[in-house]
Amino acid sequence: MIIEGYFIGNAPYFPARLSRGEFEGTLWLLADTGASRTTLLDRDLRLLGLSSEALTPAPLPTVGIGGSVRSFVLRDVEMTFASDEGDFVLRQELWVAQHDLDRLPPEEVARILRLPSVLGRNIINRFRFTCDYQVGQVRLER
Amino acid sequence: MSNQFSKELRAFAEDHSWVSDHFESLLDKYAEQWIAVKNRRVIASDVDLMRLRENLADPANTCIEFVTREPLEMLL
Repeated sequence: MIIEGYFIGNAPYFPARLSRGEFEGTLWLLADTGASRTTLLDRDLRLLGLSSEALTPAPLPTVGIGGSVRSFVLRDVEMTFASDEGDFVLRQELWVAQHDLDRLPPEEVARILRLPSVLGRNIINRFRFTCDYQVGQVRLER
Repeated sequence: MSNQFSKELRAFAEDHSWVSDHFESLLDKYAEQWIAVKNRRVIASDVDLMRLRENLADPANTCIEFVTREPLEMLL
């Protein structure tokens, strides 16, 4: 079973559909082997219509490069990827990292909203992950 | 396996490919704006992401990109 990804610029991405009771939507996930958890960021939170009031605070602290974020957990999210055999579905816990955009200048907010959500090792490591920019191939397979 | 969503995911990816392929011409018309693209066509644009979202019938399943000349180095 092969899930083909895409290079956007020079970065590997996978399109995914997320669904859980109160929301559903399609987004890009940047394949990020430096991230331990698959995490939704500000832009996708807004596009999915998720407010932090509906989220459960994360049980563990998160650290990363850049400013501080509030972190939350979304349990039991259905994630669907397009595979060569059809829809490949995972039921998954996702993390959410939310910047405090109200306290930032507009130009900084615009930059943060350009950041993609990430596909972390908690999912990548379940597959053989290929990322070969020279031949234009990015895929998850098993 | 069902194929219900794979087709939608590929269409979503194709809209993003279209944006990449036409980025220079989109810059001429939509610089520093968010654009929404469906079926390889810009269906809405706005400088404000949330205002754009409010004007879309299905924002959570629409290709949305920021068109800018500003390069961004991402360290995630």
